[in-house]
Amino acid sequence: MIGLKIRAPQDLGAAAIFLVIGLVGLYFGASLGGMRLGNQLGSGSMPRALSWISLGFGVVMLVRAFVIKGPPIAHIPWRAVVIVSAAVVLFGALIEFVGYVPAAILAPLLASFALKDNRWRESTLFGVLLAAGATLLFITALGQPLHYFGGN
Amino acid sequence: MDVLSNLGLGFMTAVSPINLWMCTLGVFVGTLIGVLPGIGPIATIAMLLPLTFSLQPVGALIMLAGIYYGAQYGGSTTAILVNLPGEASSVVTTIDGYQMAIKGRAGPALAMAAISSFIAGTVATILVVVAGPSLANLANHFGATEYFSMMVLGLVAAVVLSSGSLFKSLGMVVVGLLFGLVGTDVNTGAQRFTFGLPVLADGLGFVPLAMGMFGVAEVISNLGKPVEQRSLLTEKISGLMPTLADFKASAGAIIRGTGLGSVLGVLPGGGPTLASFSAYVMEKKISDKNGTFGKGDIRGVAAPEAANNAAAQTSFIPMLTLGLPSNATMALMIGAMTIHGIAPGPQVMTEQPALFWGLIVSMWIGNLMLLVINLPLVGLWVKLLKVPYRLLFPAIVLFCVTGVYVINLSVEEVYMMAAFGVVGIALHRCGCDPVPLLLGFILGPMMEENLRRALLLSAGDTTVFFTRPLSLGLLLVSAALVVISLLPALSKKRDEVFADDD
Repeated sequence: MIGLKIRAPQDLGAAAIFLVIGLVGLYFGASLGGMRLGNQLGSGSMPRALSWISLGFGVVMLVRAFVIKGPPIAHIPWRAVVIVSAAVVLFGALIEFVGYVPAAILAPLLASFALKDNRWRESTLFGVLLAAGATLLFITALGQPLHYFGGN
Repeated sequence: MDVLSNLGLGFMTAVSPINLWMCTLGVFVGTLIGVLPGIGPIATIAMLLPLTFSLQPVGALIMLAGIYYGAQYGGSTTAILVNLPGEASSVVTTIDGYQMAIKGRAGPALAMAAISSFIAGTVATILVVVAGPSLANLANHFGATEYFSMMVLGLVAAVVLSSGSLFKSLGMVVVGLLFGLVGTDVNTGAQRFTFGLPVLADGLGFVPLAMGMFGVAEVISNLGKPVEQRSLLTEKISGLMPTLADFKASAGAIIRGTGLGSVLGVLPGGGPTLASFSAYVMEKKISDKNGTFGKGDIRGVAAPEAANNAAAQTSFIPMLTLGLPSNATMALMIGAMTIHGIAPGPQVMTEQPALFWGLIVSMWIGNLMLLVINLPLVGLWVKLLKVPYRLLFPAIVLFCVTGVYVINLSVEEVYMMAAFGVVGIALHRCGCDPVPLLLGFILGPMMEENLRRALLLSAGDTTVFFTRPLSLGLLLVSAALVVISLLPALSKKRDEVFADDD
């Protein structure tokens, strides 16, 4: 008996995604209406059908992951994942309290630290220039409903 | 329907000062991001979508379209001068284009890329004019049953032609369809997967999803790659004009590239990248008698550049006439139309003639502009190439957050974009292409609606999809495509074609 060995880590990841989405779809779609009188679609028919199909693809990928050899999962740039996402969240957290200009300086500045050898002096200078340009473009020129400074 | 009066209407629309300005802006921005590696038309269009809210729909679409085909022009400049593809669709242009540049013929290579693009763009625009209305008329006879089956075919074909594993891509379509169903069900009013969050009641936001998966995720992905070496060959480019011999040599290549590109653009899942790869391969097979390809043969520039521009143009045909997106950019264009309150589909041509014809004519005007502005401005583009990615990416992040926030002034959507960015990275690392997901997301609600209507009209008879001949035909073609693509010989070919396409 040959032991189970993961041959395709990428496929295993894909299997996990399809299985989770299928299960979430079935669990939270369970309360939705089913097929109605005369074979008409209820609100839950299509979501549940798709969830089952997603589960099916999950199973296929799961089997493939153990049977067919595939490439390893490429290096994940954790630093970039964390810092860029944090920069996006920071913008969201700031915008309604401090206004566009400070948020537009700070979020890209934080993002620039996603690179290890970040030159912070250059980033700060560039960040300020960038924010100034974006402010002029979005608020002054395009009239987007944003505050320069201060919350709503 | 007389084509001439329609074209007249389109011309009047396209040359109105505001639309002309939008077209200029679009092709300019398109060239810019085309030149810069690391940012493509999908991310740019997603970023700029919210800014088009305040515009008229026709102006907005004209600008977004300009970005798309402008990027095909810009991508070749980087390919020729730096040996880096500015866009995925100009990967093959690096092969002979850069070799020409090494031999001191960067000027003719750039000019030939622009000229062949222009010729291809013109021919493809004529094709849109000719084929568009007849296809729209045909689609007007479609019932809900046919529409549903056509969407199945569209999605399957897009998956078969796209890169990566067939199962993963089909799975991504299903996930996309599911994502598309989030929100309030229009028929019953039931809340589906909203988890009690008001921000989800109207469905998952198209802009946070597209920007997260194609903007934020792309930035993160690029940051994970080693810093690329950009060595510019020359700063001064002299002798732009190709010689008469160049033109003679390229004429056939341009015609073949245009033809192949036009066809591949219309196919679901086709588009500029597939077109340029295929055109290069085909041209090499036909013309490479002395083994000059790969050593700076001008035909190796002309054919793929003609093909990618033709494909960019003709991919508007299914989008405008059927409401079917053939690639991610077209999905974004459909998103833009929906945001402006225009329901995509065959009725666009009759209900919004100014938009339909104006957009088409603007594409030709835009191509002319590209020819005129591109060559004299080559020096400017070259300077831009010196902007390093470490300065570029914070700007992209700022554009993304600003863009997503101003749509609804909703902080939740900003957070949602961050989440989709992480999801995008996870998918990418598992070898799942997010493009089929986006196509499914766009088509999800439409498919459900048509399925509902079809069942309503047939009084619940599910066999109706197989008994109506047109619908049966469409489904049979879909099934055949899946079977064919599972054959080992073809799947190998797919891997070859997409080997460099990332």
